[in-house]
Amino acid sequence: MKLLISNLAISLIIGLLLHSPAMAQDIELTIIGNPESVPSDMDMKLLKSVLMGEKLRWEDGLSIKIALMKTNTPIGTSTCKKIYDMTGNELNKYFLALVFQGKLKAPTFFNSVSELESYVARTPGAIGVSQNTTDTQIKIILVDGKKQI
Amino acid sequence: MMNLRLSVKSKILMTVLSVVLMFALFILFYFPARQERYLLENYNEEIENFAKTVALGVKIALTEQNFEGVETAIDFVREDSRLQFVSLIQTDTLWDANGKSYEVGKTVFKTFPENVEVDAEANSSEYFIIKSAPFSSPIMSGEIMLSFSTAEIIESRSQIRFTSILASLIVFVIGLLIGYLLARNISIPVLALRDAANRVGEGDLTQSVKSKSRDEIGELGIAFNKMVKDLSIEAALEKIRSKTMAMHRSDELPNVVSIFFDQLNHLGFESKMCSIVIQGKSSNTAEHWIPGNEQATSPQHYIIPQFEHPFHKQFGDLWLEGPTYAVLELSGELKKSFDEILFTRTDFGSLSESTKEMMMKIEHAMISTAFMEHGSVMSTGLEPLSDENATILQRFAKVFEQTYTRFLDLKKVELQAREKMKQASLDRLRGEIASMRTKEDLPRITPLIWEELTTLEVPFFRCGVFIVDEIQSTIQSYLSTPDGHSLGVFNMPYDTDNISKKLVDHWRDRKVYTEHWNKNQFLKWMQNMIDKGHIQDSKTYQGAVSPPESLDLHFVPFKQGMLYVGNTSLLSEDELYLVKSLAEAFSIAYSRYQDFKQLEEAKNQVEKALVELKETQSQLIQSEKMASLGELTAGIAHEIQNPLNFVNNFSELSVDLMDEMDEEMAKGNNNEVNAITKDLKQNLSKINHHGKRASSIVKGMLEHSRTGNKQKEMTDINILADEYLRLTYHGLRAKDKTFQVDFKTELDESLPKINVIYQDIGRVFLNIMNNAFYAVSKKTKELGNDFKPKVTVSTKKMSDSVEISVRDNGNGIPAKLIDRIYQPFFTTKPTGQGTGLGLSLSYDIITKGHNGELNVKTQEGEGTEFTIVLPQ
Repeated sequence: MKLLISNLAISLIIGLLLHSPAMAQDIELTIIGNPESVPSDMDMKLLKSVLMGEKLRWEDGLSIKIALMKTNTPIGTSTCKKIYDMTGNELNKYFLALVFQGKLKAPTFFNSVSELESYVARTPGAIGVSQNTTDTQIKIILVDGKKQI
Repeated sequence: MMNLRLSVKSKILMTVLSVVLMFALFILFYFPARQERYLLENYNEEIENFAKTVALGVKIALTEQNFEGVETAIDFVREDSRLQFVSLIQTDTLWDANGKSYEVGKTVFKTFPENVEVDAEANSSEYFIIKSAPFSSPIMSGEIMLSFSTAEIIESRSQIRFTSILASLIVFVIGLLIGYLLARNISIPVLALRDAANRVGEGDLTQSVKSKSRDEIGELGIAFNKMVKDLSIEAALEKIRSKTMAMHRSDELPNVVSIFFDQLNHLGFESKMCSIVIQGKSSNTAEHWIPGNEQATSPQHYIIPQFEHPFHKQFGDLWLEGPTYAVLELSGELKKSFDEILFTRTDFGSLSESTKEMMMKIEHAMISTAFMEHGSVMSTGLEPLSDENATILQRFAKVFEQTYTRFLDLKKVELQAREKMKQASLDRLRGEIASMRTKEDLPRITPLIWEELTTLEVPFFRCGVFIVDEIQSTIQSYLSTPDGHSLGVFNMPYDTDNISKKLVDHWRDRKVYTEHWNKNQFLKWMQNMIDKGHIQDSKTYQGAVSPPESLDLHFVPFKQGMLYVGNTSLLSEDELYLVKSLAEAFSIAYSRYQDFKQLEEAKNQVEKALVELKETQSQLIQSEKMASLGELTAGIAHEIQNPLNFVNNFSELSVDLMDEMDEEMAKGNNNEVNAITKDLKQNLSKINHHGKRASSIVKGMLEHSRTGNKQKEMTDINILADEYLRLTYHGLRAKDKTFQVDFKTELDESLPKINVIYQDIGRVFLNIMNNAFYAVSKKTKELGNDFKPKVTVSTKKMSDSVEISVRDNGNGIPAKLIDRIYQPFFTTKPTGQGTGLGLSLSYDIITKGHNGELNVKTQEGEGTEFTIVLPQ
């Protein structure tokens, strides 16, 4: 336990040093989706259900494909915090457990927004968490009527 | 210990069965155990790899947030029916309260399927295998634990065992079958080899084994066949060598050649297409030996002259390069032209039609040729010989080279022996002919020639000698009968018939003349001989034999004529050479005979001439005697005149005394009568004395001229010398009254009588004294009365001889003539005054008749002294 604690402490220190700008401000997140099958708006609950892997298919039966920024990116950090209410590690463990047991199609993590948006744009049923996007091939999903959360 | 004898087949079968059994056992036990182990190991490894893969995926997912790897891995495992569970074990380090020691705690984080209870410390069992693979990430460390069922392994193990049993059975059966076939395949050729080897060992070299397989046994079979073939080749060559060594005469060569072709045939060569060519490198002909055919079992021999043809040139050029083996091609038009020449212009034309057809049938001939020093061995076919057969052909050629060398050696020895025999024969011939002396010996010629031709082994059944007489234009013929006797000698004019003319023509050109006669020509000739009376009848000429169907007449020239040999066929060059040698020897011997004959004739002529000469000489001597007698006549007459005068005077006186005595008797004057009677007696005595004297002179004259044997008598040389001195002088005086010489004798009174033929000594005295008086007379005529001619005869007793000297003071004998004075018929006197035999006869009488000496001393202008020394 002591070791665990020391690890967490070291991680915390490193996280502070590396992401101090992100940590410094709270990023507005935009939920984006592939125009096909993904609804244009949803509530937070549904959003969380979708992104937590609890809901596996859209209404039209197309499987849901989750696209997230890596947890060590500011958007990823914000995503963990705002949507999952977890740390990055917890999120990883969360998804590991699901994927391990075959309960969820593994989400895809990206290093950059452009990669993420590109993935969402070309992958039917894909939903992702991004920032202010200008890509016209994707659609911005309103969460609780808001473009940003 | 049991001595079990197993066949090769059994051994092989047992060996194969043993191996197969071991292999079957291997398959039955070892192989499945091994397979199971491998299977299990592989299964463990496979599970472990799964665990590692999943662990790696987990690590990546946790570190790089890439869950696709772990998803793929876990999906792969999850879908495997053998999977019992897969668990994610989290490992935590738990320190004690003091923080000095720790322990690792393992907790099951997640398991799939969810309902399986997993113990983090669980281990593998018979029914499942558990494999763990650790992973470590910043988020979490732990292990991936996989559990797979061994049901498939167990099932596979059963299958393996079943398969092993089945496989071992199959292997066993197949092995058994293979073993049987292998044993059969091995044993059959091995047994065949054994049987063939046994037969080879028994001397049958025709054995060979069929080698179907290409394995060692097949190679063994091939090696065996090669060995047998080598043996058969060597045996074949050895047969030829043996036959060669057994060859004691050169005419046995065809036997060896026959063996040669037979052996080639046995070795698989088509002997009809083989040939031997013997040729000197500078020879214009080649000897060809080819195998016999249906008609001739022995090989056939042809002597073929070199002819112009490109193939011949090619062959010759190649041969001169000295290769040991070559293949020549003869085809198309070249072959046709070659065959045409061969069969139309050479003795090969006499080959059987089938053989010629066979040879011509080959349009494309490949002539495999093994060269040797004296020629080559050829094998003609459509294809060149194989390498193996080419080697055999070369070996045969080498052996035949030895054969031919021996043949040449034998030929040389035979030639030497024959040369010796020939020389002996010729010597006998020379000796026999040299012993001939007369014409009666000449009929011996034909039996002699007959005998020597027989000795020289020249084939013939008639012979003879024809002596050509160019002066008489005739041919003296000495012919034999068929049994070798002389048919007699007879003369034929040159133009007797065509044969005689040609015979003379050839003899003049010194060329051999041959003529072929058939039976009719022979009979015609014989009848011609009978008609001319040379022979009595046909029986005499033919003898017991019948007329020949064919007769080849050979006339070989020599200096004096032709030697004739008649045979049923033409003589060979060698035989003709022997006849020529015989003819030459005969010629020399006959020349000697002729020389001897001429010598005999010359001797007879000389002897005749000698007789005539002796007669002439005798006449001459008699003439000389008579001449000297004539010279003495005057002296003799003078000598006789004196006693006759005494006789006459005393007889006349006696007559007067008789008249006177008659008167005195009538008167009775006895005293006067007695005195007259006494005177008469004296007168008569004197008449008797002078009568005897005259008689003696006449007797001497008769003795002088008498011929025939004369005996030596004891003679008083002084009396003889004195008598002949006076006879000579008076003889000369009778001829020339002016002849005056002061002659005297100085006789040694002690001179003893010696044993001489006094008539001959008297002739010597007469000749020498006559010469002395002639010399002084001649000088007197030259010098006139101032010269006082003097002749002195002296005698002197020597120790064992007497010496008589006649000395004159004439002109002497010129030095240049002194050596000729004893030569017969040499004289310086004018013709008619001397025979020239006087001194010659005198010298012979003294030296040869009396073993004495006749010497002369002379000085030109001063005089001459002849000294006669006669032994006592």
